[in-house]
Amino acid sequence: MAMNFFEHQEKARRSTGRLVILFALAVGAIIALLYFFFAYFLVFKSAGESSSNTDGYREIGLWQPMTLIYVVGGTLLCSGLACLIKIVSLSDGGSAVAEMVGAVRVNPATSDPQERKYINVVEEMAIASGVPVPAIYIMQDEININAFAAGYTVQDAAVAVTRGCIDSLNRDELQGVVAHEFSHILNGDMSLNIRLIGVLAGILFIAIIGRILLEVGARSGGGRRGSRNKEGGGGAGALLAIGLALFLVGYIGYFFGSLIKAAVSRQREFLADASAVQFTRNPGGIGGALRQIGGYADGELETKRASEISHMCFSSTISGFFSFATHPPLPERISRIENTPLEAIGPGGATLGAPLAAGVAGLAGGTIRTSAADVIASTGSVTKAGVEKAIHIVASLPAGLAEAAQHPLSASALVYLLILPENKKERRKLARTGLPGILGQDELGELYRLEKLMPGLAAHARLPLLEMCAPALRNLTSDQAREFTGRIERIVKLDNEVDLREFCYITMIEFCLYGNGRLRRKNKKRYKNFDEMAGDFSCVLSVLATAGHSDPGQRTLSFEMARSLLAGRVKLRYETEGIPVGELRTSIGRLARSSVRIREALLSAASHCVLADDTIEVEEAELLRALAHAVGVPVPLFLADTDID
Amino acid sequence: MSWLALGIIGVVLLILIMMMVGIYNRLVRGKNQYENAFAQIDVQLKRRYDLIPNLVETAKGYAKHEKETLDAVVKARNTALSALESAGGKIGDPGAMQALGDAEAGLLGALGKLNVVVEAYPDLKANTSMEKLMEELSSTENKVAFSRQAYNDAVMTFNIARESFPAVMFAGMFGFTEVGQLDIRFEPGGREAPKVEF
Repeated sequence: MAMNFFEHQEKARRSTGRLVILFALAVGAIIALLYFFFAYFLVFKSAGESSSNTDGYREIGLWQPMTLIYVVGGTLLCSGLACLIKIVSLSDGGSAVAEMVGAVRVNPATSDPQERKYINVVEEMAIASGVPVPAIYIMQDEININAFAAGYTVQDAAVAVTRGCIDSLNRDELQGVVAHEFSHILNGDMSLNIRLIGVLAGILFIAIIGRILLEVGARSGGGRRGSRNKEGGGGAGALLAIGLALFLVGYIGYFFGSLIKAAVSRQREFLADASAVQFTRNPGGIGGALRQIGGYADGELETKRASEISHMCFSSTISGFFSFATHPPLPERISRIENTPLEAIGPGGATLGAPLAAGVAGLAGGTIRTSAADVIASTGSVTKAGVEKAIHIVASLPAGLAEAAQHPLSASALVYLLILPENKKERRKLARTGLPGILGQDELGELYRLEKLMPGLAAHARLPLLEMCAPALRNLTSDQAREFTGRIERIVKLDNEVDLREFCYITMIEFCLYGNGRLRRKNKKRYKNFDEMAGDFSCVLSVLATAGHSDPGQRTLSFEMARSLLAGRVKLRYETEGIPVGELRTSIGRLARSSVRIREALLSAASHCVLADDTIEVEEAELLRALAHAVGVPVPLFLADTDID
Repeated sequence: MSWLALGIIGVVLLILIMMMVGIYNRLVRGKNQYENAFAQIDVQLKRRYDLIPNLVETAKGYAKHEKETLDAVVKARNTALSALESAGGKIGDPGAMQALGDAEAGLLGALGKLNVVVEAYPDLKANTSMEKLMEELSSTENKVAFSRQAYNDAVMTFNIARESFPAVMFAGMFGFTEVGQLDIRFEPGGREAPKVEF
């Protein structure tokens, strides 16, 4: 049975916990080593002084509480600080990391056919896996084949490939590489990596201090040799000794830290390779890409920061002293991909079975037969049919709308349009009457222009179109983003109805705009208990039950399905009366910041609620996917065979 | 007591290094941001420069007597194109940005006159390809204005970061110079509200 998104996240969290313990042990060992060094050093020093000083012999034993305090405090302070700085700088989001290593954003309106191909492949993969399109980067000066994904969560991820990657790989191979990177995004590897880098930076910092002290000591010792100043010479000697100790201990710690990091990373690579095959159903794609790398020396990056992102990359980036393979050897990866049957690939005995294609046996007439269990099972995975459908959706979007998604101005106009009612008449009425007071003239002009294209947009293509807007919206400056969200707020209030879809869209857009990292820092409260979320569950599920069915009996029935599923965990109360706009908004926000378990329960209950009648309307499917988006869970496209020609 | 002194010096040195690393990273990020924002303008401007020859060709068929206005548009377009090309190599250079802004203002002025001409020839105005071109032109113009705002915001953020203390002490050392905004001094003279035609 394939692992779903929640299990992957949970596993990543658990292995992070183990790593923290390992690193705590490493830091403890470093502290112990440093303490003994200083203690011995002071014993020798006092012995040397007492021999010249005959009348007062002071006994200094190995037990020196003050030294211990200094060593513990100093080590924790320095390495903790360095670790924190690194983690904070990396959790700004995938874009920050990508820019740190010198990648540049691919121009969305590029006329370069290779770059165009790359953008399309990423967009299709994002739509197929149900995440907003990540920021798309390229390393123009790198001719080797390599790629990496960065970012803390699925909402603020970035994908980067080298120029060599898009130039020398064909579409299938590029798709394999991109699928590999998406697997890193979906499996929660990136936050794991960021923590690893942070802790390693902390340990490395001790070594760096040591090296600086060594250099300073060597210089001052050399300068004062002529003056025969005993005090100064002693100071320099002490500096040299301390520097050497810090240097050695720091590097030994770094050595073992890197070993652990590399071991973890190799495991995740096998998983990503297997997932890439699973996503594309085409071992030739990723296998071909790896073979291509084999033809080159290897995927070494020229950028100086390569070591910091080595384990995020598609193939190994650095070689030399003190670096361990963060990636398994190429032949082993290729043989695992090509020789072994799909079902048996996976690290540590975990097998990745055939993905459960949610509702491949569809019915005609825009309904899809699926079950709630399929929805949960399919989270965080992609099927070949899904990728094909995504390609189909992108290709059949009205040309003007697909293009509009690429520029910040037209993308924001598009978002306003998508938030307006789906019904053409209502939408146009609101656009005519409500919008002129809210939007500026530029945006209004763009919106009216795009509105004419909206009737060509299929219902199942609305959310994919919104996903495609994500990279352009990330380009808004903070002022523009503030205006943009303010305007959305006012547009939502135009019609005084509570609309779950609107709020899911808004939550998703906010994640894209501000990145999860920044939002998290702004609002630190996390929710882990089911008890405190009862009101939020009731609120969202009530709206969902009401929205999905017009008949009151059906509404109650679908709400009862959700209630029975959550029995024992959450006490639900069906709010038949209207729910205030603000309350729904707050509830979705709280749920988005709750633990993985709570979000899984929510999604499961929501699927049961929507699927009470075993069929799912296209609108319902999109609503469910929008809700999943809002709480940061990737749910792939629901498939109806009628949609794929 | 040399121990204490060494310790203090070490800590001060450490803080100083970390501060400098932080400043450098922030400035690099700011530079990336405004360069990225300029790339957005660049795309739209190039697209507009590509549209103009078609526009002029179409207009020629209907308004032969307006050769002067049409030539002025082509000339202004060529000036702006070369200004953009020379600005591409030195994004943010105040001189290059000013030159581009002036050339753009000239082009907008010439296009404004062309608009008046188009209004005078109902046949030309009703021509479908002309209609499409004009709409696309105004759409790209809006996008340029929007991206320009983004660029200027990014430049302002960068300049403030560069000039604030203590970054101002190191910015020169790292090679970060002042960056120019892209201002297009052109008064469109009260733009009409977009028309609703659904």
